[in-house]
Amino acid sequence: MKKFKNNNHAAAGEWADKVLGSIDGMERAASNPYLYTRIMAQLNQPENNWEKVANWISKPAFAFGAVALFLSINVWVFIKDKEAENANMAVKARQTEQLLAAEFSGNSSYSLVETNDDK
Amino acid sequence: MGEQELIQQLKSGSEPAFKYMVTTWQDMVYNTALGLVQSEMDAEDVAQDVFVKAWESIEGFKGESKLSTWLYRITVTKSLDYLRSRKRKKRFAYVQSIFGLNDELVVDPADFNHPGVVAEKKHLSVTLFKAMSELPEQQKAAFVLSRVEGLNHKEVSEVLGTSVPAVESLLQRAKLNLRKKLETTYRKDA
Repeated sequence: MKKFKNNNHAAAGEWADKVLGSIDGMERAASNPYLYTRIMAQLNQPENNWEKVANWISKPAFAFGAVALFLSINVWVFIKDKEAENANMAVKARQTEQLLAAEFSGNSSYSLVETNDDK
Repeated sequence: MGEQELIQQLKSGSEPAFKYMVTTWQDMVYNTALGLVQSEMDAEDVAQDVFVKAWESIEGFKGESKLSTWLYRITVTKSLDYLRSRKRKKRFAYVQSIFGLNDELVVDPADFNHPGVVAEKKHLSVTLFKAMSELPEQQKAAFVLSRVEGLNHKEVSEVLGTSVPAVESLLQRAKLNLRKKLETTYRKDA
């Protein structure tokens, strides 16, 4: 059994060598003699607008550019939102300060102390 | 016509120079593409795309390598792109067939028979090309350039933009992988 296995292994190796050597001395395949005509026909074919757009969109540079633009718009919106939030908070804080100042200042119309004028 | 003169003429948009370039290198481009895509029709399409690309981007050719090396480089890139797109289409058709959106069968291309192989070795070369189609991209490219196009290691390294030792390693791994695949095929058929 072991001998058969060894024989089989050797035969497989021998066959693999034969297959690997099957392209030794091969000749170069000849191309279509009308290749130049076909190329010129392709080059002279007017490209329609949709093809131009599709070619442009399918370029990796366009994809990267679009992603970069999308990310920068997101970052810009986030920053603007934060700034607006901060400004809003500052206005609110100022308003609260003013309200408190008005309430506790001497000019307030409310007074807890009874003055002579009230009498 | 000298190569520098040809490049200058190509850069100035000369059609006769372009015709000269196509007729000089069309078999080289076609044979390389054929070794990689393993279909005569597809190899013709790739060869056509290679020369269109060369014509459109000759302005950017700096002349640091030979024109033939540059054309080899475009051919390898275009052929590998073509194989990737074929694989993507096959995968998409398979997914569509699972969801019942496409009733067409996903059929593998027929066995490839290279026209340049000696008649008595043709049946063996079919098996070899089938095994080659399963190699990783870089190993496949190095193997085709070296064994199908007959380039030496230095030339292959210039086309692939790697070093000579890297090419030697790629070819060694390609040969090992092919041997493994072929031995498995032999045992299955035995």
